[in-house]
Amino acid sequence: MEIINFFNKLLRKIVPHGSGAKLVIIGFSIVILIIFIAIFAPFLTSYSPTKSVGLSLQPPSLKHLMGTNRLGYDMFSRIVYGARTILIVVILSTIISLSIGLPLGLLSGYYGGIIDRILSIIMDSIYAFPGLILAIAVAAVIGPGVINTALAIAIVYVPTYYRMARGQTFSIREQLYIEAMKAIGAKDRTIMIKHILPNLLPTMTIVFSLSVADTILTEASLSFLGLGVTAPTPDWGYDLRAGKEFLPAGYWWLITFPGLFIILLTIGFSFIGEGLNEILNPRMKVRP
Amino acid sequence: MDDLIKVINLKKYFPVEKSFLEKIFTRVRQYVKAIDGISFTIKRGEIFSLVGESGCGKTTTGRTILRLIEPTEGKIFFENIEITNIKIKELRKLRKRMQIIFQDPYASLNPRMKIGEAVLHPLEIHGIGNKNERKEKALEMLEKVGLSPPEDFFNLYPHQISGGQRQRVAIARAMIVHPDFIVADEPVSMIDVSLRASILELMMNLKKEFNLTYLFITHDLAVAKYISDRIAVMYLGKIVEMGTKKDVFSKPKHPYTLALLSSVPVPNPMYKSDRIILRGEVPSPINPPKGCRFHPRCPYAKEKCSKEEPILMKTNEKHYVACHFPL
Amino acid sequence: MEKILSIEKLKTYYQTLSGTIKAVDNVTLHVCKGEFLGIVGESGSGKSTLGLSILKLVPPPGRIIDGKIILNGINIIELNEKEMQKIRGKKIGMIFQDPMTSLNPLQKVGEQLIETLIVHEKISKKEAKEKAESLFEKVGIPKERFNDYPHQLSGGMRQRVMIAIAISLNPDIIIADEPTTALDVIVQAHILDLLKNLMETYNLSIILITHDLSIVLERCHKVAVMYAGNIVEYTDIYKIYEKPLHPYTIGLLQSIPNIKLDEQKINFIPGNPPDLINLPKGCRFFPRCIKRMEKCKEINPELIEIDKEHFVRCFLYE
Repeated sequence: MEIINFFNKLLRKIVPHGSGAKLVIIGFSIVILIIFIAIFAPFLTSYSPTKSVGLSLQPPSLKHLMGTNRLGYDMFSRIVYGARTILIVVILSTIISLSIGLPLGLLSGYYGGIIDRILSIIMDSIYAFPGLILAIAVAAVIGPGVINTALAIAIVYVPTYYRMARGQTFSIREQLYIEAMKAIGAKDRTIMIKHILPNLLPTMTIVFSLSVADTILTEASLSFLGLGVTAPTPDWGYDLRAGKEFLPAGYWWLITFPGLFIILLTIGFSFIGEGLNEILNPRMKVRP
Repeated sequence: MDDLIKVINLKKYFPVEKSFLEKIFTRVRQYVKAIDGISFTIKRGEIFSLVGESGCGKTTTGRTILRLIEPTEGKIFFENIEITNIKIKELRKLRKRMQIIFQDPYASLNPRMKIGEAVLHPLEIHGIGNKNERKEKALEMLEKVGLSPPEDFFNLYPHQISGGQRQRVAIARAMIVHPDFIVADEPVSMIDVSLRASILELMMNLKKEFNLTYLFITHDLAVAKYISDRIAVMYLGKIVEMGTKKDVFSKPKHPYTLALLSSVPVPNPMYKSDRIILRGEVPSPINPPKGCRFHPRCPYAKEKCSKEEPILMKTNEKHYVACHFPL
Repeated sequence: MEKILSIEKLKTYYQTLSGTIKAVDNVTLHVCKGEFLGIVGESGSGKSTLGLSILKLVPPPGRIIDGKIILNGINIIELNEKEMQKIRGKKIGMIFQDPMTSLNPLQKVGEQLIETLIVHEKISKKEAKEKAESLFEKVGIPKERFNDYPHQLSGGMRQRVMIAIAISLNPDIIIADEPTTALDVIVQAHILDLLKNLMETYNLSIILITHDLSIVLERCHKVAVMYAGNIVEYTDIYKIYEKPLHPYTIGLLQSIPNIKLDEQKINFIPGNPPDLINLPKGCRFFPRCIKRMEKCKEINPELIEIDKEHFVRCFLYE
């Protein structure tokens, strides 16, 4: 999360308050671009990311825009197909975390009592673990692979969505219009789904954007450590790891491009999160 | 006129949060005695006001009658059927017939729901009509409460309209299921003075058209005088005086009522005030004074008042007072 | 009569992204020594901003754009914040609606008064304590409460503490912004009576800002009615009761229920409160005025003196 904070501070210096929409547009553009790259990968490159093209450790050239790696794979292809990997992992893990964390948080916040106590203890215990360490532990147990990586990361972020949903539900529950709904005769289920949930979504969106940024880095770290996606699946984090040892020898292109793209995607989601925060929680804006 | 609402010896005690040390060292539970044994009836078609200062228990009473808060003791009757303990399922069906309007028009509306949707929502909840019929009824109701043209207002959000308009929306929402009984909890206290009469007039017109019965809760005695048929004055969780508007306002029998009435500001610079200055402040409802709760501040208190609690008794046809030495 | 405070053509606007909120727009009025002025307005009138402007406590993005506020001969608009801090408390006392936010919740109330005295007047702690105790007595706070914390006191008691602090430095004028709105009617009567007594004892001037015209009619000397950032009528309470001129004032008077009357028809003013960002071109009350004329749509009338000391802003009287 510290990297994210660093970028956000940088952001503030460059982009003043009140530019929420601008941030969202920029962030969204970056993310869409990467999604585009992921979808249209086969059209962007004719090489396969998992087959040798012959010469290894070639620097960037017209034929191989980002060079080749130790095994002769075309780096550009690995970047482009790697976008798919990271997006799948990130989206899958977020869907899993949200589907578990949000409803549990909602129930916990709405009913309180013993349900809340038990769930809170479980969630707090998970939350207490440093994210990466927990992801490593889970990944070590369930093994590598794209789906498994998504699962490992998902578990780490469940408490984040749970806490946000729970906290928001607590405060919304106390609002007068919820009491009005009870007075009208609404069932608990109706109140939770129709009245509390929509009011949770704005904050959830922001939490989502910022967590996704963190998720990307966690995925990259797991793969960097060899616990994430297995070779030869193209993965930016994995490539970062693989290329690291070649840096002293001067083969800079092996880590530069994966690193750059990880940062880019992280910034994209961060901008969306920050921008949405600006828009949905506006501060009093001053005209010069 | 039959009795629509009957309340017998209603009590609501809220437990006081104990600090950690208190939890260990004391067994004694303390309670805020918000309502401490009140009884009254509301007749069909009347406007019954509950007045008093903050902390007297009037708001709690309104909510408890609707079972938005569960009573600690006592009985509540709606159309002679006891509803004190009925199950949630049955209660939900009854909600169609008893509604509430809150003090804060903005807070009582979901900020993310369009006004039209908020107004037809009760119909959805009770499964009345199909989608089109509900929209029709909502538009009708919006027109009736003075939000015209209703099609325009249907699609607006609460923050796009004024406070007075929001309260009209809240009224429309309460009215759409055609209830028999409405608890109006300080419905105009947060509305501009110059607009209050329009809301009150709306409430009166709806009452005539739909044969409504109101429990009107307010701290503003001038408004209570303007709108009520009958009125009950509460102090520290008890009713100290109850009667027709004429009886209570012209011939108050309880010293507290007299002091309260004399404190109300009169919009006339030439009026010479006959204000009664009460000693002290309203005591805590956790430990109300022994005997008559009002005795520490009462200018007419005698010894009996500090020992024995007076019961609400009839003094004439419809005028009740809880005082050993009524005025 | 000696003028303590003179406000001339004051303009306080809030510049927001949605537009300019003209909260106080060309307000002129004055307060004499020993006078009790009530400023009455509803939502969107700008009355609170007027109070804050006099204290120069208008929060950003609000700013005093134009005009003069002359206190004892000095135009305080020209003072900087440091100089203003010497004025606040010492020359102008303030009482706000919610004492809980003005009082330090972690400090005993007696202590807070003592501290105020020591900071502004160079007296010893012992002297300050004596003075504080005497002030508490004057405002009707029982001795035992001197060492209580704010949360241990009732709303009425807290407001008495605020009053004690406000008068402690012998200011010339006190600004009270909705001081009794959050209080019950019996306590409200006590507090207002207290303010009036103190005013008479110390020959203070008080500006009472409120939405409740009744309390102004009961106790004040003069009243200024505000609507959408303008003063629409300004005179003494007898004249405004017997001969209200502005249609808004008339409407307001007709909408207050009088508990002393048995049969009463109370009216309301049609329409909605003004939107200070999108004000009409002409008279700001035009959309809701039952006596409006063509002229009113185009031009906003000036505040003129119709009768001795009776000012009104309305073309009906020009």
